[in-house]
Amino acid sequence: MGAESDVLLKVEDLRVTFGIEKTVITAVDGISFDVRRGQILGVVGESGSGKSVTGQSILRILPKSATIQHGSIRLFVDDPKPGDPIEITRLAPNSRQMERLRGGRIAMIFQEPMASFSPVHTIGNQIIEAILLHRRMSKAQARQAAISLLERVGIANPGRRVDQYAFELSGGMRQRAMIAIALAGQPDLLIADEPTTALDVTIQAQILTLLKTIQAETGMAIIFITHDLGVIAQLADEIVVMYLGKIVERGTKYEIFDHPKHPYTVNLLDAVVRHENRGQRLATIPGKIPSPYERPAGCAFHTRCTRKINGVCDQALPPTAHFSATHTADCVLYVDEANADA
Amino acid sequence: MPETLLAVRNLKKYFPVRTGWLQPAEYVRAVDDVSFTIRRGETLGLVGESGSGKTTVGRTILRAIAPTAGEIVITLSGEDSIDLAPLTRRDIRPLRQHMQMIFQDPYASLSPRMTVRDIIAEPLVAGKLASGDEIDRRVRDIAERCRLNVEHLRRFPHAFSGGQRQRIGIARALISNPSFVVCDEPVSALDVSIQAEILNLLEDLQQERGLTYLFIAHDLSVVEHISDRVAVMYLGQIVELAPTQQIFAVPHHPYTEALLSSVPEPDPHIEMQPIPLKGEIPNPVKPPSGCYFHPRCPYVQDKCRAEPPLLREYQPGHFAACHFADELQLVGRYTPPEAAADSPH
Repeated sequence: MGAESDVLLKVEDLRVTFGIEKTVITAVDGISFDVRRGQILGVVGESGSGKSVTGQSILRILPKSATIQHGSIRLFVDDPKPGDPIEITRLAPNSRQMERLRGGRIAMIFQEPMASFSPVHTIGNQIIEAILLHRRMSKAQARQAAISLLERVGIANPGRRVDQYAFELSGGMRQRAMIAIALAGQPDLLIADEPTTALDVTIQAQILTLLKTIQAETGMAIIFITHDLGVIAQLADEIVVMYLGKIVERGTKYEIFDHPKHPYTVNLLDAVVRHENRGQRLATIPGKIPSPYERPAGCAFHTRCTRKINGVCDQALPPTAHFSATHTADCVLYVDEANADA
Repeated sequence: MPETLLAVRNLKKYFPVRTGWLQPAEYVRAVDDVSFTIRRGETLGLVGESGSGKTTVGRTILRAIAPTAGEIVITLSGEDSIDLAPLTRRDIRPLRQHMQMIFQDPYASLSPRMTVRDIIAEPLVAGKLASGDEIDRRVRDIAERCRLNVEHLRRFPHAFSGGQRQRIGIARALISNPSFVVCDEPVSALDVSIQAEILNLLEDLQQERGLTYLFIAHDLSVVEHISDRVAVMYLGQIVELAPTQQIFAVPHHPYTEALLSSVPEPDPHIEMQPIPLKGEIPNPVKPPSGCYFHPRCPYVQDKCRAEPPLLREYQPGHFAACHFADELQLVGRYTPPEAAADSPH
């Protein structure tokens, strides 16, 4: 996993629940992962996997009905004091410190950029505001910085665009402008939640290339949340696969795509439409994702798993098997590997 | 060669836009002189980006909206050809049972107060095609075939997941036994594993019922999987049309090449190298001179600015609208089928 000093964000045993009409639903169920500086971590999962809730927990922008039940989210930055991580779960969502982190150390981009712009302020003013919030400079300097940010994210005529409103921009341009706002605070970590899902493929390709370039230039880390396995194969360094609020497998993108271990990961990769299986039936995953009200006991995937062992998988949580320093899967099929590590 | 089910000729759909008080009306050329045919039992994929006009083509063909000009000739088996373009709403009504549509989200346009049973039954009821017990029997049959739980037919749509909703949409589209179905982005809102289930279902139903599909989507991998032939639209026009393997292996239009290069492969060993296109899709009210694609084309030459290219046949069944389709050696997603066959075993 690299040196410990590389770790920018450490999530440990995070559990997030939603209270809906007197029922408590577990959206994220005790997950742990690290994000290293300069890394692009892909978080893959289908609807209900908890991938977006994970991103929202880090920024503390969860809906009101959600509660972080336990766990820790630590950000390792030399600010305010060197060497002392910030425990994000201890901050109040609307505290001054959290507001400084948000858009400062940690920024976020979403699927629908329109929702994150104010309709009554120009793009430029919103970027300038973000810059002034997190950096010390004059308004004129901030305007110049805003223009160069727009240029940096590939917006033509930035000097003119800076005075336009979000509704005047096309979908692709808006997504670029949102990235410009996200970069305004020079974040260490960018959380990207399905930022290209609503875009056309040529625009998506441009945005992915842009994110890669900016990541390489600035060295910031990115958590990229998506259901699109093509996008994740192209962009991520490491991948965590989520199912029903659990991380079932993690590894480098090569480990995940070339040697998937967890039956869910195997099934998911098989279901992807590929050139090679044109003219054939697509593989599917048996059964349905269980309702969040009826979480299965034991391994969350056992209700759909073709390799389920009765009396084992439906009883106890699966052990974590280690295949390499970076590759793990939570599945009883690999109990020998899991024991070897222990 | 199987017979033609649908022949679309010089189809145009212009939407008027007001530019100002007392200004003459201008027109968005959403569909700008499009011609193609679909054979019985075939799936024609229609791809293009937002604003390409692909959805308008689908809606116009089914006469959900009236065309500005052109012919839409449908030949149902054992019957005479009918041009749908000039028909009135009333004339079209008896034909609706033969042509149906599957939407991205079938509920966006439906009353949340209707039960699933009523939603599925609607084409039968609206077309007065069945009554009483027969409706219930047919609803149950098609719901079962689409692998819906018939116990749930009295529920309301909001209680269903995305995949279940799409099954309801398919059941509704097929209950009247149509010959022709327009599928407009039927799987783009679905998770990977659900998407695979729905694609399998659409293919099975096509085989069982001899359905003909116009499959509209922006996801090129999905279109490649399901289509026999593919048409690529740009700014209201078809720029290329060819058998699926042909177009993916040896594209003849620079726009198709750019689209294919932008597909993120679900394989970390194949690095995406997108061909950057200059600018964005132009305003369809004022399309560029000559070839509509010329302001963004990496291979643009003077002729492209002056002369609109015709959709010409370069290989049997492979059409492209590019002045330089013969000269350009465009790169596809895969090795051409014949080149692969020539390679030593």
